Amino acid sequence: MTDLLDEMGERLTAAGRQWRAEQPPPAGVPLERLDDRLDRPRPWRVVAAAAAAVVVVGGLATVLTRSHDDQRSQVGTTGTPTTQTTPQPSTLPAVDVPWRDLPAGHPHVRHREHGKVVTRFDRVSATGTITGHLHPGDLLTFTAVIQSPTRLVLDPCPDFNVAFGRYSWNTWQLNCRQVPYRDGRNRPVLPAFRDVGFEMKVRVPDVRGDQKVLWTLDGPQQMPGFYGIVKVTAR
Amino acid sequence: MTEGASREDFARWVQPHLTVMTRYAGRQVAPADRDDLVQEALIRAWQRWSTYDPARGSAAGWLLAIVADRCRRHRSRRPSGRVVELVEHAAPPAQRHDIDLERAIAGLARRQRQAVDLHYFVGLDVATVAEVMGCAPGTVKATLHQARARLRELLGDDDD
Repeated sequence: MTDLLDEMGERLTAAGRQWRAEQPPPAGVPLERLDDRLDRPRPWRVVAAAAAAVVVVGGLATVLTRSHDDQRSQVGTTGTPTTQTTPQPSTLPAVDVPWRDLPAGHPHVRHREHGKVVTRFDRVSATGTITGHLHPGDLLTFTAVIQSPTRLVLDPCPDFNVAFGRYSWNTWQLNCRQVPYRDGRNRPVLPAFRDVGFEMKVRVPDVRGDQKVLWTLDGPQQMPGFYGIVKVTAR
Repeated sequence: MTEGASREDFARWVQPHLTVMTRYAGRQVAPADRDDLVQEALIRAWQRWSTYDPARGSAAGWLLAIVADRCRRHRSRRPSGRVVELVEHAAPPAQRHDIDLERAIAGLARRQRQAVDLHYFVGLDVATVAEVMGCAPGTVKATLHQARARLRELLGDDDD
């Protein structure tokens, strides 16, 4: 019976992780309305709809950038960087850690506890928004927002994967060295409940049509991650 | 602790907790109402910030308790006939995920569902769940154990 309950716990954990991965990012703090009186009707819907419209128009987290210094960040293509097709929005999630093209370290993060494979990253959640209209060879830029419910030392530093469409898959190491939070031994940490935004840059491979771009943290058996659909057209 | 603090100070203080507040609201009300509820909770938190005592609990626990209170008020303002609808809509991705599990969770007792939502879906550790629910961590563990057992019954896979 205990094993069966453990299975239910794992099922809940997986469902929760998937649910978190697909939640839209939170709205900001309404500074201008903090002194409002509650418990009386207010046009919340109008305000929320206006904010949502701003977010949609801005394209939220996905941008295309021209770059000449990230040639090694390609996923499945050797295309030359070219002009961007989507304007850079001003409502991106905060980037705490800049992009660095680091080869995968393949750290040993898995071990067994009570017969189960576990990692230190099992309760990490990852969210982000990936969307846009691109051409092959462009750079797709977005922010992977990672959060841990407990303070988590990033030592060893985990890898992450980006799948672009059905055939392109690449693995890099997170840029742990530039995480701005440290423990007493100067190791990078994810503070509890604090969103940490990692900038991502992915070269668009030579594909066409609507492509699913999937970001996952490597290590946990049920990898935390998120995905979005981007439209790729020929120039 | 917050004498003379500005709204910007409050915004910086609350920023690390916005994600869990939003997740928790998202588990309790319809998606269209989620951001409204979080904003109401933030206004309430700002107005009561001077009463927050870190010695009595974490900021996350305090803020989530305010979210829970606003969600309760929100549900009580609704006609009773719509409560079931709201519960069904509280987890929008369920259609693509484990819909049987989501339906079973909706059938749990209120405290069991609260514990499941906070621990498994919001992603809180047991100690913080206990702060939000106003009970001991051991009680949370027991409630989660009972919830898992009840879910197995509701899902029809109890082998006993």
